[in-house]
Amino acid sequence: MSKTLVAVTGLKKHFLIQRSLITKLVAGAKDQRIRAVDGVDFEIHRQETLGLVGESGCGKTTLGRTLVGLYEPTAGSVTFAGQNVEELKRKDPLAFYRQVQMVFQNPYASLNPRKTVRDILSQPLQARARYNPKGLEEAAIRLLEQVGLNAHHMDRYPHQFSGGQRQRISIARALAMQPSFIVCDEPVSALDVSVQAQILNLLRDLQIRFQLTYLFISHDLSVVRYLCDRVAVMYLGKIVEIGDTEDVFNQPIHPYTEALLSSMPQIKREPVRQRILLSGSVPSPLNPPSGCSFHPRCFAQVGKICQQKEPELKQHASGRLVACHRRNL
Amino acid sequence: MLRVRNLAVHFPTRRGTVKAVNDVSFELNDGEILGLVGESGCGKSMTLLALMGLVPYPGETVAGEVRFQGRDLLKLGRDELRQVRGRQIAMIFQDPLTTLNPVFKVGEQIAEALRVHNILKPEKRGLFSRSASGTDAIREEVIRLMEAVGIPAPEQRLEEYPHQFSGGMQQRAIIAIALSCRPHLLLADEPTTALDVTVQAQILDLLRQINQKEGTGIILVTHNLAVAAEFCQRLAVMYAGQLMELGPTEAVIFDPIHPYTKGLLRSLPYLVPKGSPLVPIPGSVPDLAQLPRGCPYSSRCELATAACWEQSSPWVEVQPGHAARCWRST
Repeated sequence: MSKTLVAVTGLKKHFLIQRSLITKLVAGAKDQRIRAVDGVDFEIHRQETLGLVGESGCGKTTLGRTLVGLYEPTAGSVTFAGQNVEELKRKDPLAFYRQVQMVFQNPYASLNPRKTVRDILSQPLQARARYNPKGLEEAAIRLLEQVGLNAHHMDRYPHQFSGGQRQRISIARALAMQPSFIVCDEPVSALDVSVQAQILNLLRDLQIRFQLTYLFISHDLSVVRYLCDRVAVMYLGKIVEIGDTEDVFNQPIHPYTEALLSSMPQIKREPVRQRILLSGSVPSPLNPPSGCSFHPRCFAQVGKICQQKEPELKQHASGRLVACHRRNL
Repeated sequence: MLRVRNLAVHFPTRRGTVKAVNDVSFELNDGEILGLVGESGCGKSMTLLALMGLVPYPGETVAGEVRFQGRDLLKLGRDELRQVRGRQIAMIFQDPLTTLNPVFKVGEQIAEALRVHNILKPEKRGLFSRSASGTDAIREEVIRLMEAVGIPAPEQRLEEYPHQFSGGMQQRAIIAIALSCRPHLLLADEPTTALDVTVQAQILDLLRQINQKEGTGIILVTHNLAVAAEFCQRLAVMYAGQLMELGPTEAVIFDPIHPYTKGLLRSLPYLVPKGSPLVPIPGSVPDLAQLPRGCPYSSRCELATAACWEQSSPWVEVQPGHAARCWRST
């Protein structure tokens, strides 16, 4: 078995904003393209947790959704355990979704309010295998116990649970398929800190128990540092740096990573290191800047090349992949 | 500068009275930044609203005293309070897009604050018309304010509508409104929660500059302990409507007294080495309508004794300026 579980090559996901014929004729408007994910290459290894960080609108959720097949890629491909995801989905969608599941950000919106926990968990269980009624009940209870709930919760509705408990139900639903890969899209950002810790511990325990591979999408850098083995930093639809979490946090190479990490508030005894304040905010993915998309905010430009040529993701001496003209790689 | 004594806000509900703010007392010194931290529903935002007399119906401020510049704000009449609100005490809310009015230009919204509080006192010529110079003066002041909070090209941007601003720029515009009357005190309710980290750093930097240059006192309400730890001089920790601990930031973060503060810090991934499990606080925040008679944290506290369940805990000053509400600290 190869080390790589998910391989992404040249993946792009663009959304088209179509204008009506009238606005096109009268106002001269054109169809526009949102380049949510604009050419990313990376791999996710078996049983690792890859963190995906970046600011809102950088395309991390779109990337996650494309990986689990909720979006069709505009270009490029995703392979899962050596097989192309688009082909896999066409041939046998169920076989694909048995392997790949997702936990969504907002546990208030991702659970159907009209269904009991029993319904929510039974559906995926029945999609995977045939059960008799008793077996189904037992399987559902086993799922609940795996996520720290119990049989008493079976016939309750989502609104009867707290945010942390709902997220446990979402996780149980994902586990029902016995997947090997789970995309967790900001699973703890809607939760309070004391509850957040419970869910992070749960995710860690489940990973060890079921040999899971996670893509962990988050904007909370402290959580990513704690949980993830490797981390990928996204900016405007592209990955600018990817490497081992501790390396990246201790010595960021890309200027954006540097600025992002320095603006992370910290609890430390030593005085806080000098903060790099970026000017302005993230440009629109409708009309990304030429060359390196970070250059209008970059404090370490090396010259005209930054405005003209898009940097490639290249291997750095430390084994990290970085997309920047700054250093001789 | 500000002294709050025994503040209490109650909400009558069908299941009984919810004590959203329960006997909260603290002080804010001149030019100080105080952080009010806690989990959602602990009453930190409601405390701020109560200071401004903005508790929403059916809630009611049932007891307490809010001393500000020699007056008790809770005893002021509606019109007197409106003079203080916005002028001497300004407030910044969490979500910038819902705070700004979508149908007015940003420049007008900043100018409104100046007009309402007569900051520039334009000479009145007739009964209705203000002198042209007054309007110009207001425009100039709006531009100055927008520059001060770091909005680029203010001459153009004051003609734009809120939706044309990014989240960070919207929050800057709101800060400009809050600063327009040069308030002595700024109440900030989760001002950076809706923003990205790089923008959050910009906004916190701006607030710190205002505090240092103008000597404006700031009360920052946040659920993010790291933000509070970096930004505030003193911290107040709230739980289920009560103040649990109050002290200098360093002491509260690195030498906490109350089991809740300790639990909160242990459940954060900042201080835990990688690979070792976090230590979450068991259970979840209790129902505010059905709190135990004693300490509200007793249901989740591993050190709770019979006394904790039965009697409300005393407020004990353990170190000078560092106090907690816990039986164990007596």
